Order: sequence, then structure tokens, then C-alpha cells
Amino acid sequence: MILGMVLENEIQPFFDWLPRAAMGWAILVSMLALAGIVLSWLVLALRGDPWSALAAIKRAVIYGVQDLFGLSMRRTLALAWLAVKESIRRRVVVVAAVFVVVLLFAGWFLDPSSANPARLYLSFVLTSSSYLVLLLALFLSTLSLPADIKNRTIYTIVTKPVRASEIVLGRIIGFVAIGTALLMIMAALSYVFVVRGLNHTHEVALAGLEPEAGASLTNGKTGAAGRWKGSTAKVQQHRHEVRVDASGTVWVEYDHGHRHRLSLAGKWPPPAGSRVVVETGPPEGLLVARVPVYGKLRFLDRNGKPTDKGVNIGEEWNYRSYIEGGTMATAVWTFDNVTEQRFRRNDFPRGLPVEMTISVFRSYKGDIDNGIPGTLLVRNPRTGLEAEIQIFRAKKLTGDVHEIPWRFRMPNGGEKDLLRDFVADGKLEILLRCLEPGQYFGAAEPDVWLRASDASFAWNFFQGYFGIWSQMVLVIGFGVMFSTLLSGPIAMLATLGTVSIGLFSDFIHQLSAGKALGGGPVESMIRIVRQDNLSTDLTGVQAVAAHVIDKVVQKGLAVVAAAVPDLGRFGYADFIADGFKIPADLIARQTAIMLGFLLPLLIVGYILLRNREVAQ
Amino acid sequence: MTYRRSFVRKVIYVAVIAGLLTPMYWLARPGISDVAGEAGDPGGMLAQLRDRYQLGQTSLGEIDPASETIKLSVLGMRGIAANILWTKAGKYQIKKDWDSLSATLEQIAKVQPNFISVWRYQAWNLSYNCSAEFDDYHERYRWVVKGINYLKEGIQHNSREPSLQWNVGWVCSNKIGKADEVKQYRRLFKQDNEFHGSTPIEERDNWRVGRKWFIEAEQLVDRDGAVFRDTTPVVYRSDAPLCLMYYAIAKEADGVFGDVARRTWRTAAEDWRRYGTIDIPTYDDKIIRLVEKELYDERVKQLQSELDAIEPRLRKRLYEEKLARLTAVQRKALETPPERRTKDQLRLATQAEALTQVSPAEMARQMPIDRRKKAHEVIDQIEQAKMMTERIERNRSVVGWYYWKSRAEWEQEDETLCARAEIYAGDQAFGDARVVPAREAYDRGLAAWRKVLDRHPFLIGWSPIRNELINVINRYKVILAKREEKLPSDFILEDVVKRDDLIKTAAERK
Repeated sequence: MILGMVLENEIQPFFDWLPRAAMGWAILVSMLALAGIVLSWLVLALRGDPWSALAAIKRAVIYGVQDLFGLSMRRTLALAWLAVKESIRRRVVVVAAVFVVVLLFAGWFLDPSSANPARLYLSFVLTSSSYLVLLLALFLSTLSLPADIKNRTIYTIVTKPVRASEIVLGRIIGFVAIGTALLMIMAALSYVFVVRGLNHTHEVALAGLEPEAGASLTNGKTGAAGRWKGSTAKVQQHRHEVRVDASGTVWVEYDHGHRHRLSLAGKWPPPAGSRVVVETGPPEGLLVARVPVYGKLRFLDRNGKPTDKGVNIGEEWNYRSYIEGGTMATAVWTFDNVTEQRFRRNDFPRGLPVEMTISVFRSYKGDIDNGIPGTLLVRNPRTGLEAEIQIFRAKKLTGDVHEIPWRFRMPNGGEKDLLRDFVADGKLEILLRCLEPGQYFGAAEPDVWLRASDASFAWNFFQGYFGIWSQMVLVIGFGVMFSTLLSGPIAMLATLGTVSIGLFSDFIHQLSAGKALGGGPVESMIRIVRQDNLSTDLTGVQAVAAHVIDKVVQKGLAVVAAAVPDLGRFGYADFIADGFKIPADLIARQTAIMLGFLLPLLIVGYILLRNREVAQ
Repeated sequence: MTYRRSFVRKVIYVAVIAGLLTPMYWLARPGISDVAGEAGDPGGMLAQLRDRYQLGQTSLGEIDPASETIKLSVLGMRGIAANILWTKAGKYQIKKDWDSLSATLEQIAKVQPNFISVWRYQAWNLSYNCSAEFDDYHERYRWVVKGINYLKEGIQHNSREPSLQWNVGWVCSNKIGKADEVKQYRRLFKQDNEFHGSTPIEERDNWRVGRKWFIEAEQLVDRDGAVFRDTTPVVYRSDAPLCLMYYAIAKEADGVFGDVARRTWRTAAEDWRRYGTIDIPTYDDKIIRLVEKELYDERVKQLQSELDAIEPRLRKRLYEEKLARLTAVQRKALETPPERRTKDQLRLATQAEALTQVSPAEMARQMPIDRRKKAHEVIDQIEQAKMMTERIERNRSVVGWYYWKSRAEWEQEDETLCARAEIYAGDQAFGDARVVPAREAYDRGLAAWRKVLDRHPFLIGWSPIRNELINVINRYKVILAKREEKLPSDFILEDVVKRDDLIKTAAERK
């Protein structure tokens, strides 16, 4: 069934985010540049005299700026092509072969009985592509330049009129090109793997359908009154419930995140004793890219008064807030830009689709045979005109779809139009209440959304690979930068460390802020040696010493964590796996971050290479 | 010359290598199992030792190529990988991301396939913790079964570990059979064709299925010498017979009474007796049988008579001496009949009894010297017999021996079956809004319970029975309230109500 996506951090519109981020980036880069210049001047001043140091710095800066702006794309691309040829010589295509082998044996690792196989398949292909490509980027970018320097083949390049900036940029472009080509192959193979792997149909033996309780039967020739039910054959570890009414209309129920269409034209009712078997259509709802329109959430307390948050029922994860049933407590979503252009009636003939995934908390068991009743209402934020959409039985964390009818019949007679009477200045409010006293509904802002027309799954899927591509570019950038100064293995270690910090960025931030259980590195070492658990306090002199040292280390860790991009945020696998379109704002933001890191990496790599003897 | 020396050296090396091959072959030849009627080969000494002491990977269970692949691919960092996966699983559980949790548990199982705690803990997590997070009982049931299937997967990799079989039995029996959603779970369990395969419907009761798994676990211990570490033998051996008891209770809760219910209780009683005859090792390496306490009690009496026979009247003399040393109030308390003793007298009487106890050791000390040796021999036997009695009594109390033995017997009686059937009929009638028939059925049921309690007065002292009767009485009150009536002052089970009030009051005072 439809599940909502967990979004713990709001995705800001790109152009709202950009000015502040750009300003912050500019300030930080300027500060780092200034720090670098001052440090260099100090070192040179200590070696010689301050004035000649200043002159040397001035010369270096002017030369550097000339070098960077005098970059020749022709030479850069030639060097890039060299890097591509070198990579091919190193048999990077083996990565594609490894990927194929991984896909072939994927069945060993994918749980066929998962309730949401699409999510599993998509996560698998995206994760394995990501790891393979990052490994490739790591090896290529860190070993190339040091190998050239060690083998002295770098002299064949530096003796030509080639700038250091061109060498660095050329390598980066070359490795990115080869990585891109491999990634495109992986993306295509993954797409085929996922689509073919999930594609299936079910057979339904019509004779196996039985009348539902209370349905009366007529003879087989004239057709059965009432409803019939049964199930499809089991395929891919699941089957679907099937219901047929007297007219032969079929409902195939959702299971494992999808359903099928089935038409019984001409085959219903089946003659007595027949063995007619029909086949369903392909799965629907498995590979989708929903376009959610999120609103802003606020809460009203049990007396109907506005409150910051709902009730906290004691869950460890405070993502959702709860509203009390049988009271005035309400969760109110305000949607913006609800217009005729955005939600065309022709596209949604039955009404504006509202999808939701809410949580349920029972303070007492109550009637466990049925879900907790709730109600959804729609309201005009300006006039307060309200109308009930539906009373429903909540399904905890398993998704639900409702349709807001375009026209409402009001209790006092008369009809109201949704867009004309309930939308004010493009704003529409949707209210959620729990009807059963003593029970609670829990919701977070992204738990209720309006569903605009779906985007293309294929395009969304490939956009996901763009995220992996961005990660790859960053890893190549770091790898080439480190390789301009360090030997191959050391550069690889440094890049691997950077990638690790990037992938575990949340954990590193927690460590640097001192929020991780078990304390910093010294305290953790003490706990490991003494086999203390994480929650008891350390005592004694060693505890004090550990805390002091850890504070210093944490500061350093904070600097390192800030200097390394959060690689996890470049992964859009969650969106694709959950069946949501990757927001354009997110892609734009992450791309800007990627470029924001790449430029300083290029400059630092240039400076480091420039100052090596081989490049002088 | 040099070339010749080198050549000779090489020949010597080859000869030594060839010579070493023989003991190597004897030592390290791999074993070949019997295939398609063709006899295999036990292999060299190492292979035979591996087989005898069950040290090989194949001795543990099936080898999963995916698991082996993952273990190789982490390049020796299996511990780190396992830690990361466990951390991730914890995070997914907190964030209620059930699909990702499920997938991560599969990965953990592949990384640590022979670490029994992984299977036990995570299966428990799925069946008890994760299932409780869902509102729809169908989903809850699905996750309970997920936990069971997880354990079954663990059994494939650890076929000699009885703990996993036992846990399957526990989840099937106790989780499904004692949940708040017991009715719904039992129904879904019976209808679950995916779980049971071709098992006939009548054998799909959760208690019976659980019992089968408990027996499998016991057979692993008895037949294959496996070690069960989760709990003591007296407890895990009681699980299978207890399943029959709960099966009988569940059948009656489903509305099955009469001869079928009687037969079910009879089977449970017989199995409980059989359990009592099993050899059960205690923590101090003695073997006991739960049915034998009375034999040991008899033996103690016999031995005490033998001791008395060695020096007749010694016991009486010692007793009178001790009695003489009591204070007047103690003596008075002892002389007062127990039912007339005041609270203080009860305490004093207990003290007096303890003070006037004549122990065998005291008797031995007072015996004439020529008879002391024989007395000590008898006393040793008395001590041994008493210790066995105590051991058996302790173990009996752990498993509720008396309760279940007695219950299986009085549940078979006509009055009990009648009482339960009538109360059930009353509940059904009340559920259908037929108040008068409900009242009448309850009246008959309560009258039948009266007869049961008159025959077995100790039942009121047993909290499970008393609580059950209080629930019945409360439901009766609801039925009466529908007719605007209250419990009569001479209510037929007034003693049960009074006893319950007394206990609740005493508990509140504490």
C-alpha cells in the first residue's frame, strides 16, 4: 500500500536557500584562503625576511590567478583523454563485470518475502552501484598521479607547456568521464534488472472463487448475486485477494505494495464445473514517482486552541506528534498554491487525491477488530467554511488514500465547490481528528500530502543516479587533491577516511557535539579496556583527563566534519525506493554543494601540485 | 661437485616430502558422506575427530553460500560489519522502518549465522516488539509469524541447537495463545495455509504446534546430546505437557465442552504424570522424578520409625524435656486447638513447635554409645531422603506441579464441565443481547461452580481460579444490571467475593 516518506529535515526551496548558503560559502572560502596566505607568509617570513616573503606570496597569488584563468580547455581535455585511456588500460571495465555478477547473484541477498519488494530492489541496485562506483573513483583518483610521479612519466607532461591547474582539472574530468560512462551502464542494467525482476502476473482460477458470507447464489448460467471472493495464485511469495461482483467487476487488493488489473470480459460468471483460468495484468503501483505537495502542519489542543506540538506519547523518536481522540484536538495542514492549473479536474475525475500515513496509539485495546475511527475535513482558511471529506478507520503506518470531491453537498442544503469555496488565495486547509476517546492519531508534516500527477519513474530513477554521480565527482576531487601531495596508498587512505566521514556524517557530528553515548575517543578507549557500558559515568582522575582531551579532539572533529561533504545526502535512494519524485530543489542544492566543494579542491590541488618539484 | 650436492639435496627433499605425505594423508584426508547408496569414507583422523566432536561447519547446520560470500567479502571485518548492521537495525526499529529492519535482520543473519543469540533476540524482537507497533491485528499476526520464520531459518543453519526449536514452540504456543488478540491470532493461525502447508486443519492449533516444537527441542537433548542453556530441565520439560493443559483451556474458550473437553483434560493429565516420571537433573547433579516425593516422604517416615526402634521412648523423653523448657504462654498456645488460637498464639505455637522439634541428630547424641553407629547410618539415610524430598518439592513449586495435576483432574469432573459450558452459553447469549437466557445460563453455571468449590475448597485459595471466578461474577453483575438487579445478599459465591476483598485489602495495606 502507499506509504509516506519520512522527511526529518524540510527541503527548502533552492532560491531561498541559495543566497545564504552562497554567502556562507564565500565567507568560509575567503577565510580559508586568507588563513592559507597568512600561514604561508609566516613560514616564508621565518625562513627569510618578511618583505621578501610578502613579495613571494604576491607573486604566487598573481601567478596562481593567471594560471587558473589562463587555463586552456583544449589542453585540459587532452589531459582528460589521457586519464581516460589510462583508466581503460587499468581495466576499469571490470567494475561493470563485477556489477553484472552482483546482479546475477542478487537473488541470494534479496528477501523474496519482503512486504515491499520494489523498495528492496531499488535500494539494492542503488546501493551496490554507489559502493562500486565510489570504490572505482577511490582507486582511480588516488593512484594515478602518484604512480606517474613515481614512474617519472609525469615528466612527459610537465615538460610540455601545461599548467598544473590543467593537469589537476584534466585528471578530474577524465576520471569523471570514465566513471560517468560506467555509471550509465550500471544505471541501464539496474533499470532492466528492477523492471524485469518485479514484473509478474498472477493467475486466477475462476472456479476457485467462493461467495462471500451473506451472498446468495443463483445458478451458474444466469450469474451469481452478491460478491465472490478468492485469491490469485502465489507468485513471488505473495498472492492477492480478488473480489468480483455480480456484474463481473473485479477488485484485486493491494499486497506487497502493488495491485493488478484484471478483466473478466466474457468469462463471468463461469459455467458450472469450468476450469477457466485468467491472468492479471502487470503490477501497478510498484515503480512510481509520486509528486507530493506538502503543506504546513500545526496543532490544536484538546480544547481547540493552537499549540506548538501535539501530545508526546513517550516514543523514542519524536518525529510524530499526537492528537487526542474524542476532543477538539486537531492536526491542520495548510496547503499552498492549490489551483486549477496545478490540479486539473480532468486528471482527477473523482476528486483531489489526499494521501496519508498516520500513526495510531491506543491507550487501551478497545475494539481490535476495527481500526480507530477518524475524520478528515477540508476548510477555507479565510472564511472557516468546513466540510467533512470522510470518516475512516485508521491504518497505522500503512498508508491511505482519500479523494476530496470537487463538489460538496452541505448539511444545510446547497452545494459548494472545492476550489471556489474552500480555497482562499491558493490556500486550502485539511484537518485530521481522531473520533475515539482515549485513542490518539500521530502525524508529522510530510504524513499528509496532496498527490499531483505522477512523474516518470524512469526519469526519477536516472536522477537518482545523478546523486551517485555527484558523490563520485566529490570522491574524485578529494582523491586527485590528496594525490597531488601524498603517495598513492596514503592518498587512498586519506580519501577513504574522507569518504567514511562523509558517509557517517551524522555520527561524526554527534561525536563532535559530544552527544554520542560513550563519550569521545579517549573515554571510549577507557570504557573498552575496562569493559564498562556506555551509560555509566566514568569517575576518577582518568575520567577528568579523558574529558579534557576529548574536548580538544571533538573540536578538531567538528572542523573536519565541516570540511567534508555529507555524502549521505547525495544519495536519493530513499526517494526512489519510496516511490517519490526527487525534489528539484534538493537536486539543485546538492549540486551547488558539490560544485562548492569542487572548486576549492581544484584550487588546493593546483597549489599542492604547483609546489612540488616535478611541476616546477 | 656443487651441482651434484644440490641434486642430491633436492632428491632428499622430494623423498622427505613424499614420506610426509603418508602421515598427512592419514591425518588430513577429507571425509566423504554416503551418497545414493554408495558408502562414503570417514576420512582421516582429523575428519573423524571433527565428526565425533561435531566441530565442523557442516555439523552446525546447512551452509549458506550467500552467508559465506558475505563473510569473505567483508575481509575479516565481520565484527565491524555486524556492529554496523545491529546499529542500523536499532535505528530502523526506532524510526518504524519495518521493511529496512527486515532486510537488515536478514543481513545480520548472513553475517552471524551461527551466533544463536542473534536468531533468538531478533526473532523475539519481531514477534513481540515489532508486531505490537501495528494497529491492525492482521499485520501484528504477520509479524509474529515473521519472527517464527526467522527462527526456522536459524534452525537450518544451527540444526543442533535446541534453543531455537524451543523458541519456535514458545512463540507458537505462548505468544499466539496468551495474547490479548488470542481469538483473532488462533483463528488466523489455523487458517494460515502458507505456514502450515498441507497440515490438516485439526492439527493446526497453536498449542499443539508449539508442543511439537518443544518435543523436538527435547529430542535434540535426549537423542543427540545437545545442551539446552536457556533454562533448567525441570522448566523446559514442562512446556510440552503444559501446552496440552492450555490446549484444553483454549478448547473450552472456543466453546468445546462435554466428552471432547474431558478427553482433552485427561490427555493433559496423563502427559503431566508422564512428565513427572522423567529423570530430571538438578543443579547439584542429582536426578529426581517429580512423582517420587511421596515415596521419599514415606521413606523418611520408615527410617524415623527405624530410628525410634533403636532406642524406644528416647524421642518422647527428649520431647518432654523440651516441652518443660517452654514458657507458660508458649505451652498454652501449643495446647490451644489451632482454630481457636489468637494471632499471638499462632506465633507462639509456631515457636513452640520449632523448639520442641526433636531432630535425628539430637537423638543420635543421646543414644547409648553402642547404638550410635547404627543410629548415624539411619540418620544419614533420613537426611538423604529429606534432601531428595526438598529438591523435588522445590522443583515442583517451580512448575506449579500441584496446581496443574489437580486442575487436570477436577476439570474432568461433570460439575466443572457443566459450570464452564453454562457460563460460556451465558456469554454467548449476552453477546447476542438475549439477557434472560444469559441470566439463566449464568445461574446454572454459578450453581455448578458452587458444587465444584464445595468439593474442592482449596480452589478459592488459588489466584488463577479465584480471578477467573471474580471475572465471571463481574460479568454476572453486568447482566443483572441490564435487568436493574444487583447481586443478592445470599449470593451463591459470596465466599469467593469475600476472599478476594480480603486479599485486595491486605495487598493495599502493604
